[in-house]
Amino acid sequence: MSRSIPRRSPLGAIQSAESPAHNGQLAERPFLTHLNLRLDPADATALAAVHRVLGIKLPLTPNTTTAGDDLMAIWLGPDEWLLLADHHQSDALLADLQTALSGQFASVVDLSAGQTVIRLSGPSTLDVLARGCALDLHPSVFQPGACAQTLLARAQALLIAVDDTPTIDITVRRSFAPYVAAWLQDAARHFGLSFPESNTA
Amino acid sequence: MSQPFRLDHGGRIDRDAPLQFTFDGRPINAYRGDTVASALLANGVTLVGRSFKHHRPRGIVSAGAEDPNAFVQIGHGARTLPNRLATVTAATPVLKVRHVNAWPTLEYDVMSVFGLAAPFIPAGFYYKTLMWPRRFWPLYEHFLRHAAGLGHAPDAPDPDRYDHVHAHCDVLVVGAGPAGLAAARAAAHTGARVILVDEQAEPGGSLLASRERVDDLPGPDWADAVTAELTAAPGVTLLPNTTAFGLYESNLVLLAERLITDQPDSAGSENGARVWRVLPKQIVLATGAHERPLLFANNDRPGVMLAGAISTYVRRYAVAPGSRAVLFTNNDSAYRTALDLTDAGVPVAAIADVRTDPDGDLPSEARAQGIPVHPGAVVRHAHGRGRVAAAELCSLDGAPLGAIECDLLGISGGFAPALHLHAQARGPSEWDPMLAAFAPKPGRGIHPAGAVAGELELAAALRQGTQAGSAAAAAAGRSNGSEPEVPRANDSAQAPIQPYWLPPGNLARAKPQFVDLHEDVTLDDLRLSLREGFESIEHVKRYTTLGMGPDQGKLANPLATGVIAELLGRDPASVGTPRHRPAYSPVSLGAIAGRHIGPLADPVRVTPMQEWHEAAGASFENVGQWRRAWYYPQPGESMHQAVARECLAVRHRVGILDYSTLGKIEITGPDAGEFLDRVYTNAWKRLRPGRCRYGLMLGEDGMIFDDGVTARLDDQRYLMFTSTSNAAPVLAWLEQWLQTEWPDLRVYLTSVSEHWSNIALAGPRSREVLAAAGTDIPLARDDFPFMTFREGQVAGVPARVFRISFSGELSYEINVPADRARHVWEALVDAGRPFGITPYGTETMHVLRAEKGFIIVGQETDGSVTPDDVGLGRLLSRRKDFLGKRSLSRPDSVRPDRKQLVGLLTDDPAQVLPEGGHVVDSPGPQRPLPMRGHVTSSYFSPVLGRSIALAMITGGRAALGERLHVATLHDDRWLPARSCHPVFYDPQGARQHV
Repeated sequence: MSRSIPRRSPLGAIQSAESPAHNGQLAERPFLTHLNLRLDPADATALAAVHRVLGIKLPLTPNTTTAGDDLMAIWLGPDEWLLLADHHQSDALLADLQTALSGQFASVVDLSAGQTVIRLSGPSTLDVLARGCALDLHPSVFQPGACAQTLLARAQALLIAVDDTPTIDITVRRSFAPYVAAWLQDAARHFGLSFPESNTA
Repeated sequence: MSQPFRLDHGGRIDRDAPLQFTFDGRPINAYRGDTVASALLANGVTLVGRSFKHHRPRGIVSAGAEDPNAFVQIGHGARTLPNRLATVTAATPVLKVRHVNAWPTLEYDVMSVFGLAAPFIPAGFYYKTLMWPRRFWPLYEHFLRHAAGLGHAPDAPDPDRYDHVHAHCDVLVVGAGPAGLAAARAAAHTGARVILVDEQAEPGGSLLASRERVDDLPGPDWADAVTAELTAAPGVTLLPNTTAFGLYESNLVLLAERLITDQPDSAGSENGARVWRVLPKQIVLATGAHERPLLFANNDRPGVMLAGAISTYVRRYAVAPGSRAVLFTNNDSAYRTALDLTDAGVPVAAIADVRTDPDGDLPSEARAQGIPVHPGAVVRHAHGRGRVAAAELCSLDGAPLGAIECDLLGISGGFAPALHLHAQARGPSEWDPMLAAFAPKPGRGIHPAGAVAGELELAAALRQGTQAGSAAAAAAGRSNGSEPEVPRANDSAQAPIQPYWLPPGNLARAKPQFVDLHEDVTLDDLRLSLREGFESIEHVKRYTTLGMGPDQGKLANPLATGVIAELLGRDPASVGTPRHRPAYSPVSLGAIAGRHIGPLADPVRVTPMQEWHEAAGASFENVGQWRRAWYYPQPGESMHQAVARECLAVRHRVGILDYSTLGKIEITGPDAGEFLDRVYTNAWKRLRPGRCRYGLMLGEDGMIFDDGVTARLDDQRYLMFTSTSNAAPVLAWLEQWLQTEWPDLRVYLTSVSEHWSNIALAGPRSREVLAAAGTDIPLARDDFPFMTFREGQVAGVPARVFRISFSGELSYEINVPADRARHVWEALVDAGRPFGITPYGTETMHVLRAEKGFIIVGQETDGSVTPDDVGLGRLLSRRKDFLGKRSLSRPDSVRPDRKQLVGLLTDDPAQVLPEGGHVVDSPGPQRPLPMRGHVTSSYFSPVLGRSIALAMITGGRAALGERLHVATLHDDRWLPARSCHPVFYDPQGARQHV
C-alpha cells in the first residue's frame, strides 16, 4: 500500500536528470536506502551476521568505505556505519538486518527519508568543494574508498570519494539539503556547473 | 604622452602597452607594469593625500605595503574601495583613483588649518578637552565624525563576487623575493606541494630592482627564470597580487588575493577578491624587511622617500621620483640608491651618513662616482612646504652644516624585519643588535629566511632561502635525497649600521618630527606620553595612537621602539614593540564575508511541508536555523486575529500543526531503560512498551536542561523527543555520558529527527479526522488511550502515532517518513475539511500551552530553574539517582524564596503584560525597588477571553492571589495583577483524555 505513495526528495525538483555540462556534473541521487548501523566491532557474531546479509565486510579502518555491487558501507565511528544502498527497498534490507541481528546488542535504524546524496563529479569537483570544505581532498590524501565527516560551508556533510574522476558523493541531512544545493550551485557556477534545474535555491 | 619623470629606458614596464587612468579626475598616463604610485610619480604628482589629524600635505614614501601616506579611494558607487594603497595597486585602464581626507581639493584643503593649530593639539587632546561640559558631547561628536575617517563606504550593495578557498600544502612560502623564490624552488625540488604567495603583481621582490647578478643573470631575469620554472612545476601554486594577512593557531594562514580585471564599469584592478585559508604543514617566512625612516623636522614633506623605494622606482618602474636628490642614511644601502640615481642621470647632491667613517664597498663606489659624502652628518630639517626644497644638515652634536637644495630626500635608518605574521600568532622574536630591530626566531613549523631573518645580503639570503625551503619540505616529510643548488650572487659585503634614533638638540613644536606619518604622531607626542607616565609601548600606542592607522605602523613602530628606548635610557629589547594584529594590510569586508551573504549567510532549514505553508500564506518565524510557520493569516486578518481564530479552532474543532522540527533520538539496547533512568529525573524502566511518558532532563547543576516525551517502542527501544532548539545539544549530552562515564551501558543512540516528520492533530474532532484520513490503527479511547503510541498506516504511509498533547486537547502526533510527509499532511487537511480543520502555527501552539501552564525550556527556564521551581517536583524520583539530583539538595536549591512559576491575571483583562517585564510588590518611591521576579510568557487567551501570563516570582507558590505590579517596557506605567495557579484552562486535564 505504501509503495503507491510518491516520495519527495529534499531536492525533488532536480532528481534524476543529468547535468548538461560536459565537464562535470552536479545532481542529487535521491531515494537511496540509508541505514544507520551500530554494533560492537569486537563482536564477531554480529559482524558475520551483517556480512551474510550485505555480502560485504564492514570497514573497520576509520574514514574508509567498502562497496558491493549496489551497496556501500561507510565508517562513521568505531561502532557506527552508514549503509548506502543503490535501491529503494529500505524496508527489506532493514528487516533482513534486524532479523540477522536479533537478540544481539546492535541497532539498525532507517534514515532513508532523513538524508540525501548530492553527487559532484568531473575535473572541477575538488575546486568546488575547496570553496567550503576545510579538509584536504587532494587525491594523494583522499582517494576512492575514503570518506570524511566534515562541514561543507555551514552544514554537516559526509563526503565519500567514489572514483578518481574525481567523483564525490555528499551526504547531507534533509533539512540542510536546499542550503547545500544552493551553496554548491553558487560555488560551482565559476566552473560552469549547475544543477539540472535551478529551482533548488 | 607627458610623463616628465619617466626615464627613457630600463624598468619592467611595458612601453608598448600604454594606458590611462584618472587621479581626482585628471588623466594619468601609465604603462602596463606600473603601480598607481609609480604612474603618479612618473606624471610628477607628488601630493597624494592629506594627513589624518593635521591635514598636512603628504606624498608617496615607499614602494610597498608599508606606505603610511599612499591610501587612496578606488572606483565609485557600489564598487568603490577605500584604503587601497597606491603603492601595491596595479595601474589599469578605467581605474578611477581619488585622494582621501582633503576637502574641497587636495591642494586647497579647508582642514589644513589643523596643521597651523598642531602645536595646540597634542596627543590626548580630544580625550582631555572634549570631556566637558558633558552635554556638549553630541556637538563635539558631530564635528569629530565629519573630521575623522578616511575614505568612503560604498553607497549601494556590492555587485562583485567574493570567493573563499581552502587550501593545503606541504610548504607555504610567504614572499617571493630572493629568499622566497629560492625556498620555493628548493621545496618544489623535493616534489612537495608548495604555495608561493606575494603581494606584488609579479614575483621577484627586491630582485626586480636589483643591481646584482644571480647565477650570472641580471637579478630581474633570474627572478623571471625561477618564476617560469615554478609555474611549470607540478604541485606548485603561484599566487601574485596576494597578501598573507593573518597567521593563526595551527599555522592557519589567511591570504587575500586581489582579482585583477580590466572590465569597464568595475572598480578596475580591485574588482572582487578571494580569501584563501591555507593550512600548510610548514611555512617559509620570507616577508622581507621594511626600511626604517629617520627623524628630522618636517620629515613628512612630499619628496621625502625611503631610499630603497627610490631604487625601486628608478630601476623597476623607470621613474625618477625627483630631479636632484639628497640621501640621509646610517647604513650602506642608501649608497646603492645613490648609484641607481646616478645611473639614471639624477644628480645626487649629498649623502649625509650618521657614521663617521663609512668605508664599505658601496660607499667607496659612490665616492668614486664623485658623489659628495658627509660622514658624521645628519639631516636636521627639510625645507619646503608642498614639497621638499632643501635638506639642512648638521653634525651629530648639532653644529649647522648648511642647507643643500633638493626635491628628493632619500632616507634609510636601517631595516626592520617584517615579522608581523610571525608575531600575530605570538611567535617569539628577539632584538638583533646588528639590525637594531626585532627578528623572528624560528620554530613551530616556521622557517624565517632572508631579510626577515636579518639577512640583508643577497647571496646569503639566497642560501638561507634554499636551506629553509629544503628544511621545510623535509619537516613536511618530503625529500628526494639530493641537495638543491644554492644560487650564487655577486653582491658586496655591507658594513654595519649605526642606530640613530633622536636628532641632536631640541626643536620648536612648529617643526614637527613625525614618528608615525599616518597617525600624525610626533616625537613630542611620544615625549608627552612618557612624561605623563605612559611608558609601556602598549600604553604609548594607546595614548598617542601610534601605529593605529590602516598601515598598522609598519614604518612607525620599529622607529618608535628605538626612540622610546633612548628617551627612557633603556635597552630597546626591553621596550618591545606593540602587539601585531591581523590584518597585515586592509582587507575588504566583502572578501571576509565571501559567499556567506544573503541566502547563503546561514542554512535555512525547512520541513517537507514548507511549500504547503507558503502556499497557505503562512508567516514564518526563525527557530534557530529552522523556519517555522508562525501563523496563517487570512486576507485582511491581523496577527492577533489569526492567532485567535487558530486557537479557538483547536479548542472547539480541530487544528493541524507541523511539528517536524522536534528532535527525535532512538535509544536502543538492553540497558536503554537504565540509561533513561539516569538522564531523566523520573522512572523509566517500568514503562510498558507502547506507552509514553513526559521526562525532565537536568544539568549537573540540577537545573532544567530539556524536557519532552519519550515512548517505549518495544522491549529494548525507546524514542525520545527533544525540544527543537535542543536537538543537537541533547544528543551530544547523552553521547557524552555514554562514551565518557558509562561505557559499560549497552545503549546506542541514533538521531532520527530528519527521517520522521511530525504532524500534530489537536482538538476535539481530531479522532474523527484521523479516521477519515484512513488508518488501520483502532482509535477508540480504550484501544488507544492518552499517553500511548501505536504503529500502523496513516493515509497509506507507515506511521508512528503518539497520543500526547501539548495543547491539553485530544491530540495525535503522527510521525511519518519525511519523504511522504507532505502527502500525509495534505490527506489530513483534506479529511479534516468537513470538520473545520485549521492549520496553526507556533504562536497558537504557544498560547495553547500557556493556557495549560506547560513550560517551554528556555522561556520559563533560563538555566537557573529547578523542577520544583516550575512546580514539577513530583517528577523527581526518590528511589533512584539521576543527573543533577545531588545539586537539588544544595542550600540554594531549596531556598523558600526561590523564584517559582505562577500565573498572573491582570486587573484589566484586555491588558497583555510585556514578556520580560519586571515584577514588584508595589511601585513605591523606594529605589531600587525590591524585585519579585519577571514575566516569562504572556498572551491574550481567546478561549478565556482575557489576558494570561506566566511569571517566575520569589516565593510565589505560597502566596497565590497576592497583588503584584509589572513594569512596562516603554513608559513609566505599572500594571496591577494578581498571581494565580499557572494552569488557566481545564485544570483537571479532562479534555486530553476523551
